[in-house]
Amino acid sequence: MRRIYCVALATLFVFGCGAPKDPLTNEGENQPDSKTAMESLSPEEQFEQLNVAYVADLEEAGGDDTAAAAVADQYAGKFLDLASAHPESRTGFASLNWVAMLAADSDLQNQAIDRMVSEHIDNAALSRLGTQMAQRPLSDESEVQLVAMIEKSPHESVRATATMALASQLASLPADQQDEARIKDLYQSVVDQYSSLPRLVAAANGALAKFRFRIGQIAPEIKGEDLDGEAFKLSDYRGKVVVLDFWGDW
Amino acid sequence: MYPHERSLVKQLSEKPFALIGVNRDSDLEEVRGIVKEKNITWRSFWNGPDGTRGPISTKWNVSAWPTIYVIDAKGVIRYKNVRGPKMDEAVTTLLHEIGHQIEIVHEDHSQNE
Repeated sequence: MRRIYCVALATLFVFGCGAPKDPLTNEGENQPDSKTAMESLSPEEQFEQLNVAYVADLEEAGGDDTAAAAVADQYAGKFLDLASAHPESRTGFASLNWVAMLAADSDLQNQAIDRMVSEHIDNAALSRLGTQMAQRPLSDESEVQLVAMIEKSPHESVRATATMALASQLASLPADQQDEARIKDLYQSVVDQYSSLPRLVAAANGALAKFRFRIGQIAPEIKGEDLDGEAFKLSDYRGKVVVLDFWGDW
Repeated sequence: MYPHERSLVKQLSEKPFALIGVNRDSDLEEVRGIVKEKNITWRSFWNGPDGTRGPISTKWNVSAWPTIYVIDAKGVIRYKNVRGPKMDEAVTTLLHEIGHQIEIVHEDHSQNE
């Protein structure tokens, strides 16, 4: 609940700065949803007004989650309309993004994400969607959306975050339903292709390590020195049963 | 911890078995002292001066200490984080797989050091 509220405010902030004040609403007529007033506003201002109205209605809903979800979905419809009125614009993208992040209904979210991917595939800000989708469960829709981002985006950051998201969605399935080879290939492709994004590479390496050190896998080699400085390696002990103990004195 | 492992190493000294440590202490002089003082009879890799962030534990994604892997004669990881009697059982099973019947009996379970 609090998170939703913050995202709404943050989204608002993006457009809130620098937008000229609307003369109509400043002159006493405080009716943000008056049709004529709305149409005379720039797309950015319409976005802002919708968001202000949303936050106000959300406050009215109080702490009631069901009411808050209904408010979110009611405004999701309005934002989808706004996106349709201004395709291929910043406002169009921001409106779809609003729905993708804040709608309670997953069909509305999916509709918005589908449109972000099909109408705004060149937008670099899709990387935020990619990052966010890593937290979502796998669905038929999410897989199609993420694959489209990976295959079609001209931006490395979008392709890389979408690859990570798809890998982590696939890896969140129960172990016996996982396509381990595919998950590993996805993480490996992040390591191989996106060296300009070191944080993602590190995350992908961490995820790969978990697969490598599972029961049933061949233990990776260790080459090092013992405490007297003499070099040796784990594979020296092949043919023996080995207890490998990561220890420290404490 | 140490007495159990020391006992295991001693009992299996004639068997195809090895206990290998990866030590995370950043001060090598200090850990050499500990090895002597606590009679640690097995060999350890040193994880280097960065301690818990050293190269071996990083590669193995180890974040909890101690972490234990039991590896069979073919080099396959077979058990993870088995301790005490469970470790004995794992080692017994894996030695049996390569034709060695053993029985591990520890002299004194209650001793602390």
